[in-house]
Amino acid sequence: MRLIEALVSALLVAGLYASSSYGLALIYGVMKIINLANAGTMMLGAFMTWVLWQWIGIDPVISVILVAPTCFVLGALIEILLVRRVSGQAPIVSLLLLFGVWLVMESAAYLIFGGETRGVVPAYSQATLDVGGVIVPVTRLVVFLASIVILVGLELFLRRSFLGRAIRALAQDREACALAGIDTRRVGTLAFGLGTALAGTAGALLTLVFSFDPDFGRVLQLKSFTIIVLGGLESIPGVAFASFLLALAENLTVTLSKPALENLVSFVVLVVVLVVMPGGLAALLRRRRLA
Amino acid sequence: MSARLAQLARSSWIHLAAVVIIGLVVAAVPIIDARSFNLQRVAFFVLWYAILAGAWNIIGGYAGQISFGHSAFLGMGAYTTGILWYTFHFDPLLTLPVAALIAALYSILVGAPTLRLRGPYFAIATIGVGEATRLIAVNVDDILGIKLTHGVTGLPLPSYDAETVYFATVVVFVIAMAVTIWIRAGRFGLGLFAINMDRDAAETAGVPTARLQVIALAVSAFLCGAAGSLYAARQQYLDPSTMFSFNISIAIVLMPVVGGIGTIWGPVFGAILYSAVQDQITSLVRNPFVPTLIYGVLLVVIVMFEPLGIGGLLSRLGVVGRKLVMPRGGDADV
Repeated sequence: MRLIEALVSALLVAGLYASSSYGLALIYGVMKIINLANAGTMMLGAFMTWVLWQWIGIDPVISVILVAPTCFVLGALIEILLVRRVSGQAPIVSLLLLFGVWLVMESAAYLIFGGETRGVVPAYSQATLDVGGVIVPVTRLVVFLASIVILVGLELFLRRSFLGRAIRALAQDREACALAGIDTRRVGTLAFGLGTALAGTAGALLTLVFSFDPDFGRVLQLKSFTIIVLGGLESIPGVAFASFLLALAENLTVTLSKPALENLVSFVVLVVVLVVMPGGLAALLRRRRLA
Repeated sequence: MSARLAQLARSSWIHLAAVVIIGLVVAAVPIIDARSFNLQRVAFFVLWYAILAGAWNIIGGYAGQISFGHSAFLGMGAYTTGILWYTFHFDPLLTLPVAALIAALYSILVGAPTLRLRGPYFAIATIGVGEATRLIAVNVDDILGIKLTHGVTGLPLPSYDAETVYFATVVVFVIAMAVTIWIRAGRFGLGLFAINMDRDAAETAGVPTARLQVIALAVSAFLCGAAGSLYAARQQYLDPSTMFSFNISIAIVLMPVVGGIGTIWGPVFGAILYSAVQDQITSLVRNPFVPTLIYGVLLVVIVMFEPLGIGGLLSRLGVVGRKLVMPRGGDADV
């Protein structure tokens, strides 16, 4: 019974982690850039949701309809105005650049909204469901379902639509894409916008589960890095699976030792994975298949 | 290459002389006016930040391995001194070399595996290192029955003569600058620059890239540890969520990058600007987030338009010579 409980709770947390990691993975896959502004976008999505909820009473799930396109435009603008201009340089340059963007976003939010912690509390925030004998908060279930919907939608988009295929092709070989007549700059902009929109969506959804301040997303951002590295950096299902593994590892740590060490798990996993298997799970599986 | 080294060695003497003169001038502050506590405090923090920024520059600027986790080494140094002073009653300034050494050893421990990672991966791993170190410092405060870090409550320390700490800081600053100048002028520095430009090519050309990077990080951590020790001696209170904070790590990245990454004087420019902004703007607008906004904008602008930072800007305005602010002394013949 306790095992089932642990699995269910890990699964729910995994949904939360996965939804905040999709954007990072997509942008890394296509642009080979680590978007340090991901946490900033999540925070922005959360605050937009809060404003919509506070002023007009829009439910966080519905506010995604407004948050996602806004973040898409923001991401596309960041790509066109900033990231594109340093694209030829060392990866460190774009890292520092996006780090600067994150600092600007965070401090701007502090100036506008102040430092106090905020929350969005819809009517169903305290409700629970009984899933096979395990008590589950409805809000976590909503986030989990949303992360599944995003996973399926994103995979369908990337595999079926022309643009999605172009994005995947770009992730594999930028030069070959250019030769095949794909407008790599435009696809890059769209991918960056899409990744940013996913981060904003995650921020909107996570208001259901977490209270937040302008520093929101930093710890999650570190976990997201662990997840995309563990998942193999480019694969969306890999992200989902890695989220589950990390959530499970954290769950076990909390059960077996101090709860305060929960956040330590992801950093240890991150360093170990980066050093021992830089290709993540995907590379590990590939190696097995080849052997 | 030997002609190149000889040329660098010549220019090093000029830089070194400048550092010693600056050291003598700032050391005179408390002597000339013994009551100038405020000036002394400002000077202390400029020097202290310059030590940290210069230390970061060795691994981040010279070798091009960006570390977002340098607060780990700073905190290690601070806590070594703090614990030796508080629990074992050693004189804090005598523990400074020990603190620096412990920070360096810790950096070898975390650097040996993580420095095998390239570019952005190393940067991200260092975020993990910094956070993990902070969590350990907060949660693991009891080893072998001795209270060590005192967890979240922090470590209260006895008071110590501020002037002595000030002079020690001047000495450490001069040493730190001398080390960065010396590294730049030697084969070690050339190796680091080679790694920065192209790690594979450097490896092929016979540069022991892995070893050089670990040594560079250790030297960097050694100086950060010394800075931490000085802080402990001066501030009389250590709090893990400040000493090991991500914010300090950010500041340590910002100063050299904004001042001029990979250059000798860039970190000093960055430290002066950082202290000035921290001091003036914060008291002017009474909002701690305006400085962060300024740093963020500055970082974006500098990355986009002036990679040599304030140094590059000063040379454009003709205040200083171009050669002075170039990473490798304005050469094309490496």
